Amino acid sequence: MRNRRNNIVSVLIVGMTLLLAAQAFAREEYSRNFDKTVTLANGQSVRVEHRMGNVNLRTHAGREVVVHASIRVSASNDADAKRLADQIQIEVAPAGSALVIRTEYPKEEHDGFLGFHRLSYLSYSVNLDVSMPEAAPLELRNSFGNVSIEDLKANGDITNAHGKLTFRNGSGTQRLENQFAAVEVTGNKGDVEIRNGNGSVDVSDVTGIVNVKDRFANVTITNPGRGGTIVNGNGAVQVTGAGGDVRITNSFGKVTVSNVKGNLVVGNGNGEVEANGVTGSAELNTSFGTVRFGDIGKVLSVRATNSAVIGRKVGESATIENSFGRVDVSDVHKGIRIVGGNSPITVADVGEEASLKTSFGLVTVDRVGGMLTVEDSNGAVKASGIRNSANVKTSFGVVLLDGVAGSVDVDNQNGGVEVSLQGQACRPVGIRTSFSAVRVRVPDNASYAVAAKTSFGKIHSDFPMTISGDISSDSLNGNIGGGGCPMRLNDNNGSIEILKNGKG
Amino acid sequence: MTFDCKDLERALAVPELLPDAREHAKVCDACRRELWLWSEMSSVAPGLREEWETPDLWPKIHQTLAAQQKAAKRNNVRFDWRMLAGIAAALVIAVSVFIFMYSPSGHTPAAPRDSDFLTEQTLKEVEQSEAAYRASIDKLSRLAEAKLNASENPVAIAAREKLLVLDSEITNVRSTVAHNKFNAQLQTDLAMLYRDKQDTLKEILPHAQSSQ
Repeated sequence: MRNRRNNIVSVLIVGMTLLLAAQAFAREEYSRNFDKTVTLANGQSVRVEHRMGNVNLRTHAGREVVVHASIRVSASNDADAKRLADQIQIEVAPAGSALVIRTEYPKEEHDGFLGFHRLSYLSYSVNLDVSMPEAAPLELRNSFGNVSIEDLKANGDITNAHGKLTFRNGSGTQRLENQFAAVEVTGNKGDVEIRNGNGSVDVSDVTGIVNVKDRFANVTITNPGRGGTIVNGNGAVQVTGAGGDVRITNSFGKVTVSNVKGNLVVGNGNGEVEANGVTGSAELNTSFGTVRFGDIGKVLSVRATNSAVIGRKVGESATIENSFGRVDVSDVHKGIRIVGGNSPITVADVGEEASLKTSFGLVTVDRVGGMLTVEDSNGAVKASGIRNSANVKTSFGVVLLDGVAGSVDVDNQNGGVEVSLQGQACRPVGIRTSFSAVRVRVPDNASYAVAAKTSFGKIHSDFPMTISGDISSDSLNGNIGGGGCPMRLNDNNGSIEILKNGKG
Repeated sequence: MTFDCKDLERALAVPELLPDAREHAKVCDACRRELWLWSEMSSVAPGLREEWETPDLWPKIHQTLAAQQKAAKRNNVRFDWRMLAGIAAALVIAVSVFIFMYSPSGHTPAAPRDSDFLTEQTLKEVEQSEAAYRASIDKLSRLAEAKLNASENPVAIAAREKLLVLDSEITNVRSTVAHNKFNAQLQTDLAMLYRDKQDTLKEILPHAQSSQ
């Protein structure tokens, strides 16, 4: 019995302690509502000036502006809370050509609100709901709260900070600005300009031009009807389904673009670039990040330092400059020009001329419709299916040319040269190298006037030759078949072989 | 010893074999390249070592341990149903007394259902956490900023700029918070700025170290 009584006493003591603690930490919250409806005059715009709370703005087809505000105050006692709540005013009044909705907080003097001495114990917020005519232009300023705008069918100028800015289903020219929070736009018939800092931007289904300026965050644009310009830094940029030209400047983030009906210009730094499905021309520049492309309708231009360049399908010509990264390009309808440094180059299926320059890298070429020019150093060159002439200059690497339909000119040092000629037509051949062998494969019934010279090596021919001049093992002048077509082979410290096609 | 390419891997593990490997590499391109790569890796690897501040790691571990201990204790305590009923009854009485004593007799303010404000207790906790967080970030800043300021690396330049923007905004928001301390939205905004600064410092620290 005594035990039971003790338990009850203990529980009551705990209960009372809880009560006292609750009282010590007690706060009073007071809220009051403000409601006002005003008819907007013809030609009048709406201006909202607010802070410390959310703004939700909707529109309707009528002329009324309906304002509802929920004023909330927290204080250490009910009287203070009520007093401050009563002093927070929502002004709805015309000013110039606009109807102004303004939230006025009591002015602060010295270190606090007028008439309140326990300043640090007061806190407040006001949430604003506005319903306004859809055709009235809007100017809105807010901070420290979210802003949501729906169905505005007139121009808007919205600025927020420290709160998400959401804009939906509008029309007109929209200017949206935010800081330290996201901007989200879904649907606008007209142009949209967005400025943000330290907050992401996500825009979709805008029929006009989209211009975005942001920093330190990601930017995603989907279906900008007339393209746009994006300037960002330290964040990823993604553009999909643009109906016009797109221009992107970025740094320290990946740029991804797909399906652009127009031209594309990307200037990135320290970030990858990926562009697919551009109907116009594409200019892709970056550093320290791979450039990937596919299906570029017109001219392609790439500048990439310390970056690889990989892609296929270019409707017109391609120009690529890079360093310290491989270049792998195929299916270029017109000509291609590549200047690389310390870059292996692989090119295939080029419709017209191919001009390739690099160093310290293998150059591999397959199927070129025009003339092939390769300038390499310290790298091998391997080419086949060249429908015009081939001019190759390199050093310290082998040169293998197979199926060249035009003249052949090879200037090599410290590397072997092997060339296979096809067809009976005259294809002048000039090959110079040193410290390695020269091997030329010639069709059975071809005719060449051969001038071959070497030192510290031998000259061998599969073909019977009509010799003219002196005969020696390191120098030979004579004709294969009827002669006529010039073949000049010069080697230092290497042998020269003239073989029949198909013979190992 | 007649050194062959297949002995190279063993030579990299047994230092005594290295002179033979080097001799062999003079006439073997493949082995020379392998040896060069190993030597490069050996010199670069120590520079890749990274250290960073984890101010919230120990509190989290501590919190988890405390929670586990609490759970274990809870499992060990056997409540008598009569005791539970007693506590419940006492609480009902206490709450009834509280409502009776403190509910205002006249005007009843329309109390917001979902509060936008912190309680005294929550604010106290938030302010304590903020102080600890700031101390930790300041420490991280001291570590990174000296190196950042000396670096002309583009990553460091961008980070410096971002940190300046964040510091300026933290000052602004703090002064706003000082007049509206219990506003939960403001406290959240301030916390997000601190977190952004911490993330930036953590992200930049390896770059700052490597650019030295």
